[in-house]
Amino acid sequence: MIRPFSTAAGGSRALRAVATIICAGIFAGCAPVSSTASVLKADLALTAAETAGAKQHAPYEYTAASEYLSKAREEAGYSHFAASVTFADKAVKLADDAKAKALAISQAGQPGALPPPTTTTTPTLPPPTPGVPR
Amino acid sequence: MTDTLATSPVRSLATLASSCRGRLATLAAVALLATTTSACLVGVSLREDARTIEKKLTQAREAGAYRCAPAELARAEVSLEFLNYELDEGNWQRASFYHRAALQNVDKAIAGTNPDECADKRVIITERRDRDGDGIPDDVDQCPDEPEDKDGFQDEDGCPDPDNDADGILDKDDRCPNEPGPASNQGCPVQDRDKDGIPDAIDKCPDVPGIPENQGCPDVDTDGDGIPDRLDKCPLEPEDKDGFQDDDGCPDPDNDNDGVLDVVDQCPNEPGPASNHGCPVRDRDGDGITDDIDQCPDVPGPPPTGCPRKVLVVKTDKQIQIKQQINFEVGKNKIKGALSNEILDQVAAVMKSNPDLHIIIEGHTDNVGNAAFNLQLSDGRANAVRAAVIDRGVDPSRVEAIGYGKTKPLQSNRTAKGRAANRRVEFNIVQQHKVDTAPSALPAGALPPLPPAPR
Repeated sequence: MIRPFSTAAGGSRALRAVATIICAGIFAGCAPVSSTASVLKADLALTAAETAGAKQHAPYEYTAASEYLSKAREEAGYSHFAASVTFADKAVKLADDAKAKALAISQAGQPGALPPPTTTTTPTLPPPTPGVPR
Repeated sequence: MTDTLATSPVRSLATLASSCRGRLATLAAVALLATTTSACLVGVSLREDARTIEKKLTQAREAGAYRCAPAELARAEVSLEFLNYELDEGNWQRASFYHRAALQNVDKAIAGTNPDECADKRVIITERRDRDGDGIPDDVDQCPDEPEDKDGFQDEDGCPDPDNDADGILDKDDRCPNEPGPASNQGCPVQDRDKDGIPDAIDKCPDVPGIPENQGCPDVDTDGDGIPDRLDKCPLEPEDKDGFQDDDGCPDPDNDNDGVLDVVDQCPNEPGPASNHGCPVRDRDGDGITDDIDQCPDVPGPPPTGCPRKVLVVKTDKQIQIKQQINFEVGKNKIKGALSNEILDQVAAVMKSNPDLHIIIEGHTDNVGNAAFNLQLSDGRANAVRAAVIDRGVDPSRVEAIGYGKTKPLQSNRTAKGRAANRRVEFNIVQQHKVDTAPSALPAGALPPLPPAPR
């Protein structure tokens, strides 16, 4: 007995398999792209913070952002893209904080001054990311 | 047998090979076990260190590392996070790297932080209560339960001031709450230009200080006697100010109303006839006949003359003159005879009629006989007369007595008439305080000369 659509059905399965492989390849290739984009974004943010004087006016935030960026790059080097993205995001946030703080101090006319002692709590790093997905 | 011998080495080799594989496997297993155990031990140690580093980070933060060593603090915190991350990932080598980094940086952070200079300052905020909610805290609010009225008057004390100017009119009803004024003027001060206390509205002289009795106008004294017209019963006639009714403002030309004007009245406040210069007529001897018609004003006597039946004494400026001599027993001090007593009665009457009169009774003799005896006799008789006068009611302090003997003769002792005149008693006036303005009470007619005193 001849199955009139047997050849077509077989082709369809092959086509699906090919599509699946292509999609998997695309998605697999997206991870480093995403990681690289995050690292680039963090790098830009850190440069902007440094330009605003954060190295001097917000050394805590600036240093932490710089360390996170280095770690993001390191993790990307180990192909741990998810962790790289997470650390890069933290670097972006801290760099933005550093920039804002530096700008605020500059506008207040206190160049070179450390933030005055206050009763407010000092900033802390973002919560650690246990079990960062690779 | 040969087979046996031939197969023995093979077996031995196989056994040996078998034995070697077993050892290698054992060695590999042991090595694997050792490596695994070592890794586990390293991991446990690093986790312990991570907790220590975390405590140090807390210490550094509390000491103020955020201000004084922010970069080191950031590196230490980040490195600790990476350490934990790598431990979770099982990357002991990288974990060890971050362990060292975290440890070094936290130590640097602690070393570079002086808590006295870097730590957050603690500011103590004490809540100040304000029960009445007037914005003035209770500790400085003098009335913590009454809200200040905030009307711009003493608003700092915290007490309400319902009547700022204390004029009795509450501020809410007072058109001038900060200036005292009567209710009739809605609490505003009343205008008083001349400051005489009388509001201009009812002051007839608003620009000249005056008195309420004059409707705010000043007092006027038309006659210039110092008594204002409103009190002066005679505003057009000045008061004469003679000590008699000087407050009524009217002159009193005849104070005693005796018809003798004060200007010529020697007793302006005692009524008296013009014949006596306006002074009241007296009756010194108390015989009921006034001195102006009493011919013997110092000696009581019946009307109409006021003289006794026999006038035996007369008062002059210097003495109480006796018309006849007092008689004594011969050579003694004893007074004798009714006439002598009558004379003494009249002398005592004169003394009583003239209360300010003081006299000295002098006793004198003629030159017959012993001088010493005469002196003693005259002194004794003078004192006898003094005693007799005192007996008749005259104050002893007004009467003195002295005997002169023959030393003060009036006439020559060569004749009997002269010696009789020298034997005598005299009543000489030594003091008369009050000058009697009344006419002399000398009796009318001349008196006969003194008869010689009997011895």
